[in-house]
Amino acid sequence: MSKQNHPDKSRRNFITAGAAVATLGLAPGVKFIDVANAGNEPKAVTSEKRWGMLIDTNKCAEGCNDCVTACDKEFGLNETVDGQKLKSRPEQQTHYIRKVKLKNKKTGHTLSLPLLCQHCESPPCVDVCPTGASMRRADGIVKVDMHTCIGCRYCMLACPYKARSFIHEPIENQKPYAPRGQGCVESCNLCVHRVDEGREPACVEACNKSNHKAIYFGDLKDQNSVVSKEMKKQASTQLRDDLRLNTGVRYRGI
Amino acid sequence: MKKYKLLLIAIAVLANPLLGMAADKKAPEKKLSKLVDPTVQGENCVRDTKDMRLNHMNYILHQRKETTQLGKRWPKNVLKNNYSIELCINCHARKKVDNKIVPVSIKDNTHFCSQCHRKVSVNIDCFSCHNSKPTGKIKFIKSPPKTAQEKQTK
Ligand code: HEC
Ligand code: HEC
Ligand code: HEC
Repeated sequence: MSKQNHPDKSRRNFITAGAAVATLGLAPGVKFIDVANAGNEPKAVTSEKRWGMLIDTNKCAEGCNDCVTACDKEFGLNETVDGQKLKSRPEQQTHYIRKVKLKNKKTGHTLSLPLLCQHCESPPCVDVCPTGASMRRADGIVKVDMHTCIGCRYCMLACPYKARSFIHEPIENQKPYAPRGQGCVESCNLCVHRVDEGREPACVEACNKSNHKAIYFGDLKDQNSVVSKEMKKQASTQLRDDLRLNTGVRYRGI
Repeated sequence: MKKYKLLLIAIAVLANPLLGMAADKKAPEKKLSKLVDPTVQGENCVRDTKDMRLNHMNYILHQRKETTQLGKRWPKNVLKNNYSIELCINCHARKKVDNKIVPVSIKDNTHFCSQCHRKVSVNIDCFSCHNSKPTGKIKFIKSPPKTAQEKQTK
């Protein structure tokens, strides 16, 4: 009976031993990559932080486009290659952040606000991604890992904020800190290269420079950060809070 | 794990002729050393040069995963064991033309990364997204010195 339960135990043992011998045989001269970065390894980001923004629509000026221009410049978006005109239609072109005008039909009141990736805590774009390219970093930044993106554009459909774009054309002369290329989906990554260096995103910097100071940026989990303090002061809203995505970007005055 | 072992075998097999190539002092070595940015002094890459020749793909791909997924971003002023592709390009993608040092794009047949790969039929798509030319912001004069251990292994 017991024999039938373990019909080929000895065979299995033999295979395991064989594998071990094979590994040993390989070892000389071959180094495991785990030791590659020994010594100067930086720390991985953790969920002790959650990066977020508060956008004050009362301060955001209609007609001002500074955050959008700064973002385009930072990432080199929609730049021409060799002086040739872009072939893709304007609505196909990349936007990480864009200005949106809202009008209350009853009262006629208008307001203008920048709309970007909302960096949800439970992002629909990550849920639907078949390859794991659409990802949320431990510190709350939602982005595309272009190395695994196959360009299926499912995430673009899933995003309720229309925050993602697809790259239709070949690109050259990318910024070294922000690689991007044809056939991938891309979106605002909260200027991850800047944030990791301790700087603030390009749009925030531009808004402060233009003296509107409509965007507060910082760590939502730190009670003493500028964002947290501002959020404590006045009510803030999540766009489409009915979806309960717990966005990292909040708005005031809507 | 199985895949990993297969990769190791593939590397070992592929790397052998390369090692041989380097030992054969004249032809290929001359060609390769000419490819390195003439403004860089020193004989060592970000890791032991011999080791880099064999294992650079593992190191780069490993760091790529760490940086993009876990947010481990190596500071750009640290050279030792830093496999950021931006750094490779900064040191390796220049050449001398008429006594001037100019950046080399991947379209150019003499690009450091493509010349060697073409020989061994490796095709990498990295430069459809990553800039293959140095942007000039970072400049190094010296490559990191060898550690005592590396000196011994040579
Ligand atoms: C600080 C400048 C510097 C950086 C950064 C750098 N290298 Fe090097 N690399 C060198 C030098 C110097 C050599 C030695 C050239 C020689 O021996 O002629 C070298 C040699 C090499 C070789 C062996 C070439 C041969 O002669 O066979 C390879 C492969 C290589 N580097 C790949 C890389 C890769 C991949 C990166 C990025 C992870 C990188 N290097 C980053 C300076 C650098
Ligand atoms: C000394 C010759 C040599 C030079 C110079 C060289 N490579 Fe390689 N590289 C190889 C070989 C050989 C392989 C294939 C190894 C394999 O398939 O196991 C390879 C493979 C790779 C791979 C993995 C490809 C894959 O699909 O798995 C990457 C990435 C890579 N090289 C990047 C670079 C970059 C970036 C540079 C320029 C800084 C460079 N290499 C310069 C010889 C070289
Ligand atoms: C589809 C576009 C795309 C392709 C193709 C691509 N990358 Fe990247 N890569 C990126 C983006 C975007 C980032 C930046 C991610 C970030 O900053 O979080 C990046 C970051 C990296 C990093 C970490 C940043 C750094 O400089 O240290 C490494 C290393 C890297 N890539 C290596 C490679 C290698 C090697 C290849 C080729 C095998 C490759 N990449 C191909 C888009 C691409």
